[in-house]
Amino acid sequence: MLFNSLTFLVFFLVVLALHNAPFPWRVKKTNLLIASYVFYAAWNPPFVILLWISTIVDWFAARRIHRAKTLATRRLFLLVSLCCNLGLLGFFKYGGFLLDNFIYVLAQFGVHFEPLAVDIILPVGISFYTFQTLSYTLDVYKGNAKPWQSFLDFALFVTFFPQLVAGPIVRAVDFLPQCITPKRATQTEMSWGLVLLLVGLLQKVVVADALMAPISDRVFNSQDPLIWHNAWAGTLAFSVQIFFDFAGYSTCAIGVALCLGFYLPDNFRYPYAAIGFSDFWKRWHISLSSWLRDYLYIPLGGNRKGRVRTHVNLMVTMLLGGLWHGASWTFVAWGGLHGIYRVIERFAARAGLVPTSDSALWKRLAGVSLTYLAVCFTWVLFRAQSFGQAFDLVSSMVGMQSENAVGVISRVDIMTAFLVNGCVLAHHWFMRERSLVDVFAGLRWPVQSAAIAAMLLLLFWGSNGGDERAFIYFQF
Amino acid sequence: MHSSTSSSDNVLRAPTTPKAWLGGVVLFLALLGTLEVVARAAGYHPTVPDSKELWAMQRDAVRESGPESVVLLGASRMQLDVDPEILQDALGGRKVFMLAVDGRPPMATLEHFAEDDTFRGTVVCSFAARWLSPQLWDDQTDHLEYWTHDWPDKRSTSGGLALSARLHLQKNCAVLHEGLTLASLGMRLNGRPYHPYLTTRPSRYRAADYQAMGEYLPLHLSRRVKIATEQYSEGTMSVDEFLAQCERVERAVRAIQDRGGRVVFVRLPTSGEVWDLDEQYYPRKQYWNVFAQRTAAATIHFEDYETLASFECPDGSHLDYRDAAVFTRNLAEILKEKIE
Repeated sequence: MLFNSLTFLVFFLVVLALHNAPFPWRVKKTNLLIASYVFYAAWNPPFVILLWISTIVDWFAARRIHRAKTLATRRLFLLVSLCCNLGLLGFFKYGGFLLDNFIYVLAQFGVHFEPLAVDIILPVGISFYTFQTLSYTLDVYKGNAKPWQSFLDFALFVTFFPQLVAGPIVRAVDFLPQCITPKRATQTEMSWGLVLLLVGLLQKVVVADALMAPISDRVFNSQDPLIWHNAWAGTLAFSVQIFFDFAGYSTCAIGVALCLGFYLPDNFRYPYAAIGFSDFWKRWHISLSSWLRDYLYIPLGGNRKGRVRTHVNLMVTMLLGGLWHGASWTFVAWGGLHGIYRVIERFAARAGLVPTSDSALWKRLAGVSLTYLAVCFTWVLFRAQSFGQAFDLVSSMVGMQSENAVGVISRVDIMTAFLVNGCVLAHHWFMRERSLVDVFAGLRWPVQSAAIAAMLLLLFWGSNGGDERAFIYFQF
Repeated sequence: MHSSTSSSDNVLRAPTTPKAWLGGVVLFLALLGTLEVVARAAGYHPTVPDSKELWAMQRDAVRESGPESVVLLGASRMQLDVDPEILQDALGGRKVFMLAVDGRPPMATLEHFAEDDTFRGTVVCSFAARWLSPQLWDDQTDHLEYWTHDWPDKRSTSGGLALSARLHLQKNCAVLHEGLTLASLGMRLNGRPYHPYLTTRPSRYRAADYQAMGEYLPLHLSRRVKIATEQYSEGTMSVDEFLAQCERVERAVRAIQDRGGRVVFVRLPTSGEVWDLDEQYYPRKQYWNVFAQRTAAATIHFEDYETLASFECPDGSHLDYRDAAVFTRNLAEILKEKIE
């Protein structure tokens, strides 16, 4: 079920009505749990079973870990949780990828292996809820949290529909305490939640889908080598599309949750105004990058075991972060490139070459521009269907376009891509140290009304001819 | 988006209130109403964008209907000249579905129905000799592929409901006209020529109001003639090539007829210079007449029927919607004889 669909609108109204009806809190939580299963089942009902497995295994594993008297027992139950969660993720998400690579390796040794064709469907959002439930078990294992006493609360934490399929990846310590006391949005929370939902839909429907997706689709679906300005326009369009698509989902999720009285963490903080890549990852998909930091980078040793080991840890974290996004070597390379950027940045920082918040304006602007340009090159790998296509596009972007290069988008498309990018960068720069809530709170109510009316109008217009595109991050 | 709804404190400052929302909704409705009035004053009218989704909905409806269904195939001429709702009434309630696609010859869709074992209805297919060219044969394939591959997912999730709601809005709101942008509206209000003469209905009939074009009709006609000239200058099929392609058409016809279905080919009217070009490159005697003699399908050429021959196409190639209504009723009378 997509946020940008009428089905969701009907579903949400029903959920809101039930949530505001005079039922006991336990009944309301049960309603939310059932609604969450319905939300997920609307896509593919049998895969709800995966949610149940994940919920039950982590519920019992965490309890057994907590009660275990010996380290071996604790490790055993942690292993059960890891094997179950990562096993399901591995089978559904990486099964085909591993098999393809196995066949390829065998072929290098002259062994021709042709397995039965297996068509594995990727359960939507599996990477998100797997990481979310794992964080609970890992927190209990590390002693950072105690097992929760209510199975209903825990099941709701795993399944809570606003963020189930594309995040933010919520931590148990942030969510579960919210289940203790009855939640019902105040008028302020409801109003702000609806504004966030509106902003998120606007980001997704108007900017990502209506403005940018047609341009990036034509560029990245082209079978021919492209003229440099086409390659740049397509890449810039995708850069904006991926941000507004994903940030749009997160904003909708936060808004929908708030309408129900629940608070979810921010997932984006104007990342295209980042100065450097460390800063970028503190602003882009924050819930994933903090998960990788807490449950992978730090356990690997973080920066506590010397310079070389720090760089290795960074690379491992970023490579696995890339692989988390999809079962393809291009995603691994995307993560690897970000890892390399971060290693280089560490050297540059030691040489005093990375601007800080105290640096002169031109240095900070240069830092933002360089970071954004470098990030754009990584988006080519992220979006390209193959390394060959990525290589062709990057070649065109750096002025080494093929003699057969063609154009697949119009001059208006090119201007639109560049113009929208400029606007987005300016907006992120302006909002770099601000938050939407502060900006909105600083407006008088008639101005807020005008902003809401303008957003409604744009959304009404923007969704007119459009496809209901799924959110890009659903596939991860 | 840094929304600052962090759960670390769970205390939300008051950024907005229901009052702001109420004001926003009222202002939105007022703006929308104003835009609607301005758009209508500028000559825009409610119309449904003719999309693949709309085509797919019609195709679904064919599948759900029985052998009494009538499917209209062709390109723009079929979409503009034959109103399926009028035809349905005139044919005594047979369900009529418009599957013609503007600017795209229908031969791939004819073959598609030939391959659909469940189809036992009647195909009324617009015909132009040029369309049998191998280069044009597959022009409607992307609609077929969309219906086969993309549409099922969309229909089964939320697309069907959303599309129905969107259609309802589009057929009632001029502000949702597919050609309307703030720039085009501004130009129109400043007196720049814009002629929204086509209205697409949810049935996929496209009503052409050539009277709305006023003094710009001659310019439109000359463009149409230019397009036809360019199309013909891309090359024509020899009679032998044409006959070879007719065999392919015939296989599709036989497949439909073998299941109890019917096929009727209709040569829809063209006038003036467009007709002259048709005759220059694909003379009726050498192409249509030969095809009509050989095919097992029924055939209707507009010239052969007094009730069809008297219509004038304002742009040389399509009928005004006022004439299309009469033409459709007249065509229905002839079709009744052919398919009953």
